Amino acid sequence: MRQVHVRFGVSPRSRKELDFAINLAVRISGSLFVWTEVDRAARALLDGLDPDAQAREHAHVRDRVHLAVGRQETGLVPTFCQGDPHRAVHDPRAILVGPRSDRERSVAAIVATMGEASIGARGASEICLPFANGESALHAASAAIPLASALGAQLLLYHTTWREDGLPTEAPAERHMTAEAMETLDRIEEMCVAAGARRRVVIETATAIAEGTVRAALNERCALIVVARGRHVGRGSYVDQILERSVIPVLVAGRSKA
Amino acid sequence: MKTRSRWLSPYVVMGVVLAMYGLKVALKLTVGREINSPTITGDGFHNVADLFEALLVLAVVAISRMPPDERYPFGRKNVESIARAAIGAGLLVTALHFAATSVMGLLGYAPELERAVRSYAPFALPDPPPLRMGGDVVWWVLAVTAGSAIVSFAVSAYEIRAGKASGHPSMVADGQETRGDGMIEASIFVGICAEYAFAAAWLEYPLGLGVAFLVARTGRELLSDGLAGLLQRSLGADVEKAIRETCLMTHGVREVEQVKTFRVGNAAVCILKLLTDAPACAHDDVKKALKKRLAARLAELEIEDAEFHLRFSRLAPARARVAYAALTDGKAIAVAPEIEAATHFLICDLDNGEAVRWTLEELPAPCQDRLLDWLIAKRVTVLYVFGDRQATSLGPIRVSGVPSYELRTLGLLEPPTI
Repeated sequence: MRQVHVRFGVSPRSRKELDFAINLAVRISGSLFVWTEVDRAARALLDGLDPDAQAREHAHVRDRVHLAVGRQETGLVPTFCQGDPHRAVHDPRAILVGPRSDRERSVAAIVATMGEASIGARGASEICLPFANGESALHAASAAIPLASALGAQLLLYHTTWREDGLPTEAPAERHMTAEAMETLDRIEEMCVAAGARRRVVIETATAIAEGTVRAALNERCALIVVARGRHVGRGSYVDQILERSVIPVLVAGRSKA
Repeated sequence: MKTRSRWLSPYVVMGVVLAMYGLKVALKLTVGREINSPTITGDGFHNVADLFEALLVLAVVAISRMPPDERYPFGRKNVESIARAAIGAGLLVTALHFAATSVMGLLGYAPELERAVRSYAPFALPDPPPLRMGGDVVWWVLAVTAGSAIVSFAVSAYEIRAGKASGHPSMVADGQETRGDGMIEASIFVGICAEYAFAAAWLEYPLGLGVAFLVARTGRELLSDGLAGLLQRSLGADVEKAIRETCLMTHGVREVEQVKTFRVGNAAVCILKLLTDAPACAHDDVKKALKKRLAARLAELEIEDAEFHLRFSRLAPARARVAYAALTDGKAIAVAPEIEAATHFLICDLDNGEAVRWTLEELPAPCQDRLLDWLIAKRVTVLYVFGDRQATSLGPIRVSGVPSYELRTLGLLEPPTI
């Protein structure tokens, strides 16, 4: 069973992330883990005044999480944990909902909700999987394909490439693809076939990769964009650019074993 | 391929349509007057309106290629609305005239009633001459009516196909109207056949009333469409509801603040004010996707030509200043369970419920007994303590509980990243 982890918080953004995580856990038949902070120094300050502070805090958090679960009328039974899920979760199949507090990459995938209440809250249904010619695309595919199968969603395999000089202007975008990108597409399609995942392919010649990806996801009514960080990117990560401009939830695959 | 595209050119198609109407008008008015038939003459005048409408479509096709400029920000397409309204009004007058002629023709079979009606009418009523029937004109009459119907159906199909291929909805609409004309002409043909078959000249007048009704209906539609364009009537509640739904189904749109729709000529104009919380760099992406989706949705509602003007505004920030009763040893900070236990206060600015700034402040010594005054001076509206408690009041300040004493859980630490 896949795990969905979320950090508890009282801000509006945190409440939306909790709703998102509950919905996701239900839809993929997963289990929900709700995390709270352990600030020992802060607790020590309260020891003399309120020895039951931690127990009271747990009780309040449980009540609020159960209320949120009840609002979605699900039979989900959340598990409560303490600590930082980004450091504590080592299951590569797990999904963490919400941002992390440092630059260290998690083993699990992370979803930035972009303020949405759930995947597909606006009626969109496809999952956009942008690919280029790097191994990161295959890693992203390994996260996206099982998720698409679990959600019953179709994959949109999206590639944008720079135009190749010398080709006629009316040449289809596919002809501008590099051999490596074609090979990556073939391998992703093989993975889809093996998993029985539905997919379609959109190839464009947009010059700005991140912009093209977000626009394609919006135009094609995608509910989620799945990306993975490349290991050799020094500066100007497409993942960061997509996170910066996307209004659609983005799932960043966890640290690759490679 | 080249031949096909030339025959589907809007100018060629409209040239064929104009030629057809010109021929129909000449034949119907000549034959109609020759035999004193209000049905055929009425239909001939109906075709005069069609002729002008076809000219309008031709003009719209030409004008639609003129880009909007500073003086005409929505282009000049509304010239079509003016002409439509004028043609519609003209058709209504024509229909009234032929209805009156047909009624008087029928009353001609009851002379006493006719005299009574004429004596009460405050104005001169038409005095239709007797219908001329006979072997010398029958073939002309049948050829004109049957030929007109056949030509109308053929040209209608051609015009609709070419209109769809070239993306000119006004041509498609005109083609649909031509098909309606074909139906009228087919009905007239059947009626005239019946007149000759049963030697019943009086049938002409009920037929004339029928044609007058159809002409009036066309006139009313044209007048209504023209006035709708001129007076910038909205596209209707259903269309605006569909627009709102499409907007809210698009990522990045939080609220639809305002929808204004109207027509300029055949084109629908939609002016939308949308609230968004998307980053500024994403506005253009959302706009482009939204325009594409709205165009597709309106096409489903048979509005093919639409122009969208979208304005994004940020959600108005709901700003508030709150305070947390806090304990600190200079390193760690915790939210205190009681006001009296607090050594410090976190004075926190919220935008839409999210903390955007806070300072840790010690209650100044002279204020120790005047906490309320100090918080009021800081413009604090809510004071939080740790614990689940009923909200109470401290003067004008609400005192409420939060479920955690830790700053991260309360959303008071730096915004994290992925």
